[in-house]
Amino acid sequence: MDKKTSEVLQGTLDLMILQTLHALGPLHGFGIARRLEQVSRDVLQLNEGTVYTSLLRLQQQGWITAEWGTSENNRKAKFYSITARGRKQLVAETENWERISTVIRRVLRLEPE
Amino acid sequence: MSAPRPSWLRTFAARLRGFVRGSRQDEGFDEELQEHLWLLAERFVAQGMSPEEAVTAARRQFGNTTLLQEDRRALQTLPSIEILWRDLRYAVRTLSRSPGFAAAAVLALALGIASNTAIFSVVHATFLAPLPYQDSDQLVFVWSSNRSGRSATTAADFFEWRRRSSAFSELHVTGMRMVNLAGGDRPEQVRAQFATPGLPGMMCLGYPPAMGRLFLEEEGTPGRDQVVILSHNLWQERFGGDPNVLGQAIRIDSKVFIVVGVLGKAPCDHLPWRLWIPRAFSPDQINRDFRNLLVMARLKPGVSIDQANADMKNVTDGLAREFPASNTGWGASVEPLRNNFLNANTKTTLWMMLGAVGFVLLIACANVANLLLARGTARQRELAIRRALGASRRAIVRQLLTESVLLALVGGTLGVGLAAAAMRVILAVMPPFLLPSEVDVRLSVPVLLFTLTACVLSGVLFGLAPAWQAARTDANAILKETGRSVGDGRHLLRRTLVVAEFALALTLLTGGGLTTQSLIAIARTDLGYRSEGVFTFYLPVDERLKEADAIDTFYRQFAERVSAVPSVTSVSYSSGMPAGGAWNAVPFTIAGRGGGDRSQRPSARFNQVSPAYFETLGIRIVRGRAFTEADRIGTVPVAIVNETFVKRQFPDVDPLTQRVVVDQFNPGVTNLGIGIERQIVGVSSDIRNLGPASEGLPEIHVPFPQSTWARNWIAVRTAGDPLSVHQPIAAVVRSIDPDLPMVEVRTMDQLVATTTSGARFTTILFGAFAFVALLLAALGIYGVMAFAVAQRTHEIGLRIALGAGRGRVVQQVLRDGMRTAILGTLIGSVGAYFVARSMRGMVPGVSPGDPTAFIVVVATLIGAALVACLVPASRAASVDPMTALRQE
Repeated sequence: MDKKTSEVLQGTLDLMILQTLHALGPLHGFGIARRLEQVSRDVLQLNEGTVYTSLLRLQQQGWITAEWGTSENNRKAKFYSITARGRKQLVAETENWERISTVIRRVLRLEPE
Repeated sequence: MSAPRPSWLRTFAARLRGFVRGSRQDEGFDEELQEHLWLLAERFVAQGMSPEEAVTAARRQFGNTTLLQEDRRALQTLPSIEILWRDLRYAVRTLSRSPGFAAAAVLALALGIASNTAIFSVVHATFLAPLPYQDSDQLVFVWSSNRSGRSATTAADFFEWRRRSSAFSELHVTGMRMVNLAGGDRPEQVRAQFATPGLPGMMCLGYPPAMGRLFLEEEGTPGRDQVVILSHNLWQERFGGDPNVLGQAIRIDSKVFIVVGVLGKAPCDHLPWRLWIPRAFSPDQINRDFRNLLVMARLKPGVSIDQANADMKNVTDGLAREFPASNTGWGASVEPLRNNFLNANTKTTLWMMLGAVGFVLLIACANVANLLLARGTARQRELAIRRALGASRRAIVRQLLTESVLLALVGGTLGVGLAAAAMRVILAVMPPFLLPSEVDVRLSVPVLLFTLTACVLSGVLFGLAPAWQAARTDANAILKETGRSVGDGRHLLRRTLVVAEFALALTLLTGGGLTTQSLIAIARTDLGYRSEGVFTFYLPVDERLKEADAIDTFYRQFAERVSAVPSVTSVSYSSGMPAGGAWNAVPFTIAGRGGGDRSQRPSARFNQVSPAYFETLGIRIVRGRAFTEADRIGTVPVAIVNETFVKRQFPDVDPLTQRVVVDQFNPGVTNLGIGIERQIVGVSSDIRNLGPASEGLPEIHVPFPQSTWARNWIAVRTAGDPLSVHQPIAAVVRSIDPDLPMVEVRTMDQLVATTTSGARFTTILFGAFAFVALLLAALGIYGVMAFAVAQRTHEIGLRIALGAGRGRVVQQVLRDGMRTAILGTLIGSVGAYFVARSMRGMVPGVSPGDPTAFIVVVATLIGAALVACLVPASRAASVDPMTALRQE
């Protein structure tokens, strides 16, 4: 993965994590990684570690919060959940994403005249 | 779209939190990653992998954990603070590794910062700090003014101002004089404020008295005015804080006053007077003859000084119309309280001092920059290695600047300590009343902020040169070098700095030289009188004697009794005396010249003198005769004028043929009597207290019996030590009246010294700063030369081995150093020229074109440079060629 692709992905990864937490409620990092794997049907090959950088960034903006809890197999794990601010951001970013992708789709469909 | 944008504030807050929490976060994060890896591995095992395979696969899928940790750190801390902290730690380590260098730099800076802090404290307290009164910007002086400037006002005008003006909430007459406080174990001379009753309330607004009350309005009428308010410090010192002091009767100038109040510990306690006494005006005192009242006022809230001036113009225009004889041409001037008595010279002196210490700091900076550059040469390899290992230019410059700012701060801290000591010295040598009394010179927050700014700025200033050098150097070239360093450019830069130091030092030394020369000129001036061997004091008798005859008799008999004291050769009494403070002044006309407007008459100093006055004080009579016992009441009224008077009034007439008309003074009565024509019988030499350039003032002397006065100076010429007659004369005074105050007992020489104390103060300070500058400049050139010699040891050794004479080596090093010094001196001459020009008005006795000071200063500077170069030169000459060559 060269640098440019990863930058694009960073933004989208943030968005996907927000959406995941919005849809599924509190999850730990491992759970988020599994969900992304499942949803992308293995198309998205990512270093699962980058999820954590994303989580930190989202936390700093106050879009998600974290809490220590216990995982399914009774070990200490950090659970992330989306905040009200995060939901607002998710709505805005989703709209934004859809608009851009519509435009891009339209541009890509243009035939040579 | 109202999406919450990523805000820098939140990011910063999060980073700050992360920065503060530090490594504790690392662990939590690490734990989280480990858990994830573990879960992944478990999952792979569940899918059928062996545990080893599972761990490797988990790692692969997860990615590099170290990189993640770094990402996290980058996200969660403040990079600049982190870097600053690292740079600082590094700086402390490097500096403590070369303590000699650090000590030299810190000391140079401490000197620079200390002098700046000390002088800025004085400047700040004088010009910038708020005065310690409530609403101090409402407090003003109101002066009478005419074409020739401002002046005190008359009692009648003052009461009209009060009645007619609308800009002020209150107006008061103020007047300070020494009084004799009797009682207790000894009589004491203290300053007292004679003011209209409301003044204490106006000055001490917001600070209620500690005990009792302030004055009542009716205590400003004759008969009710025998009351007094004590300042807090007088109450503490003289009355021991006696709680029963209220209602006590105390004797002041032989009159009885009742204590009605004691002021609280308030800022107005810093005022120079320690007693407040109400000033009562009897009807005969309310006239327009005497301009002797100083008026203070408080502006109504919201009224500006301009508005007050406009208001006063209306008032004085009206007065001039109604009283044309006395008030034509007289207006008023409303002026802020701050520095109203600070003369222009003191102001210029203070600002020039600030400039001078600024120069000292610049020189110190140049010195430290030089030291840094020299050390930079030694550190070239270290820096080159850091560059080679990937440090950016910026990182290196940042590191070097951090070091220099750190040096500056350490130097500054030391400097503040030095400044505290220096300020004590400055205040000790500062003549009293040079600064307004409410000025409180101390290290305050604004002063310390100033110092901090000076430190940081100077740190950056002297750090820039070496940092720039370091960033410029080519790492490869240096690493390829074996041991000897390159750096011709570096050398040039160092020389430039020394040239600058010399130029600055020369400029500063010129200032110091000029003030010193001025002081010498003043000391050498023919003052117009002979002060040595004269004992003086002030002996007012107005409280016990009212009649002219009685006063005349008293002083004559007193002088006779003092003449009988052993070693006394002559005794005189007079209302004014050279160096003896304020004189009376009177308007006069010349008989036979057109009368003109009485309010526009010229005025002259007026001095009632006993016959022995001129002889006792050694004032020459240049024409005609002195007064004799024969000049009495009933004989022809006579006068002696001084040379300046003659120059102004009789440029081409024989003054001894002229008569001068002066209004009669009557003791105890404050309005002028009829004009009396006086035959001029002699011309006395001028008195110059302020050096040869000071202009004399016109003076009229009259025989004491023809115009008696009740507050006089006594001058006693003695054959031996003038102070030896103090006790016998005091005994004479006591035998006449134990309550009679003998005020301001001094020798004439001491009095003269106080008139030159301002000049001495300036000289001491300028001299001190110039000396520091000289020292720093000499150290600078020494440093450069010593370093140059050390660097060239190899070359010098080679030359000696090849047969160069040691004399030649010395010569060469000297020539090298002196070239730098002379270039700096040449450039500095330009600065010196401007300093000399701007100081012209401040150095009485030095003519603008006089090169003496400049020549002496240049010689000193070159001499210092020579000495500073000789040491390295002789070291160069003693280089052992074998050692030097083996040094490789």
